[in-house]
Amino acid sequence: MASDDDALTWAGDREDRAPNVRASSSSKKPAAKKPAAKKPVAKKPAAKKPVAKKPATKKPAAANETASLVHPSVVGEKPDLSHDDVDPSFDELVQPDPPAQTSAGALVMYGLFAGVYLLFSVAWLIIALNPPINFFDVVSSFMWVASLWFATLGGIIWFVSTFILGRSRGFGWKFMMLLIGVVVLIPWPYLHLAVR
Amino acid sequence: MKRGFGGWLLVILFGVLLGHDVWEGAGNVIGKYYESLQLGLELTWVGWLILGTNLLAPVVLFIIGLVATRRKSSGDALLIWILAVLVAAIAGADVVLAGNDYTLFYTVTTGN
Repeated sequence: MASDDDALTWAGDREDRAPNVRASSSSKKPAAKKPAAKKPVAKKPAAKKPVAKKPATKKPAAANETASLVHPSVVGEKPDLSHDDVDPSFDELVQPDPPAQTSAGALVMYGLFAGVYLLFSVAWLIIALNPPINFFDVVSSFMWVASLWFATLGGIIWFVSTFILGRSRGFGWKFMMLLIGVVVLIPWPYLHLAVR
Repeated sequence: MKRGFGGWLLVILFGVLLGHDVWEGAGNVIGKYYESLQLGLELTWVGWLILGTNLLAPVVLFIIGLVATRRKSSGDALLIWILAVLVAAIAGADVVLAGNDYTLFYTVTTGN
C-alpha cells in the first residue's frame, strides 16, 4: 500500500490539489477515482482472512469475544435450541417452573383428609364452647381456654401447614403428615362424651 | 446450628410455652398421684401412660422442633413451632378432660 500511495502522490500534491478539488468539478474525478483505484488494495485484507485468524488462535480471550459475537452455526458448534431460539410464553415468564400436576387420586385423598379435619374441628369446637372443666387460676384458665380454641383451629392449621412445609415434597410425605395429623388431632374428649 | 436471631427468638418463645405445658404435666402427675393416695386407689397403666405422655410430650416436641427448624426459613420455623405447641396443647387438653373419668386412671373395684 505504501508503494502505491507513493506512486500516486508527489511532493506538494496535497497543498496544491486541495483547493482545486473544491474549486472545479473536473478535478473531482481523480479524487473519485482514488477509492476505485484502491479497490484491489482493499480486497487484499479480505483475501487474507485466514491470516487474520492467526492472532485469534494466539489470543484465546479475543477468540472467546469473537465467538460470543458470532452465531454458533457459523463457528461450527451445535446451536443451543433449548431456550435461545424459542420465545418464552407469558405463563413461562410468570411462573418459570410450573408445579407438577396433582393427580386426581391425590386430590380425592386430600379432600378426604380435609373432611376428617373439618369434623375434628367441629368436635373440638363443641368441647371449647362447653368446657367440662374450669380453672380458677387466671393463667391456668387462660391457657386452658387458649388450648381448647387452638385445638379447634388445629385441623386447619395442620392441613395448611402440611402443604406449606411440603411444597417441595411429594404426595407420600404429605399423605404421611396428614395421617399423623389425624392421629394427633383425634378429639378424644368428644368421642368419650359421645360414647357415654 | 445455623439459626439467626429470629430463629432463637422463636426457640425462646415456644420454649416458654412448651415449658408451661411441662409444668402443667408435672402438676397433673403429682396431683393424680396424691389423689390416688387420698382415695386409696391405684393408678392404672393407662393412667400412667396418659400422665407420662402429657409430661414428656412437650419435651419431645421441643427437641423435635429444635432439630426440624435447624435449617429452615423463619416462616417455616414458625409453622413447625406452632404445630409443636398445637400437639402439646391437644395432649394437655386430652389429659385434663380425661381426668374426669376415674375409670381411666384408677382401678375402681365394685362391691365388697
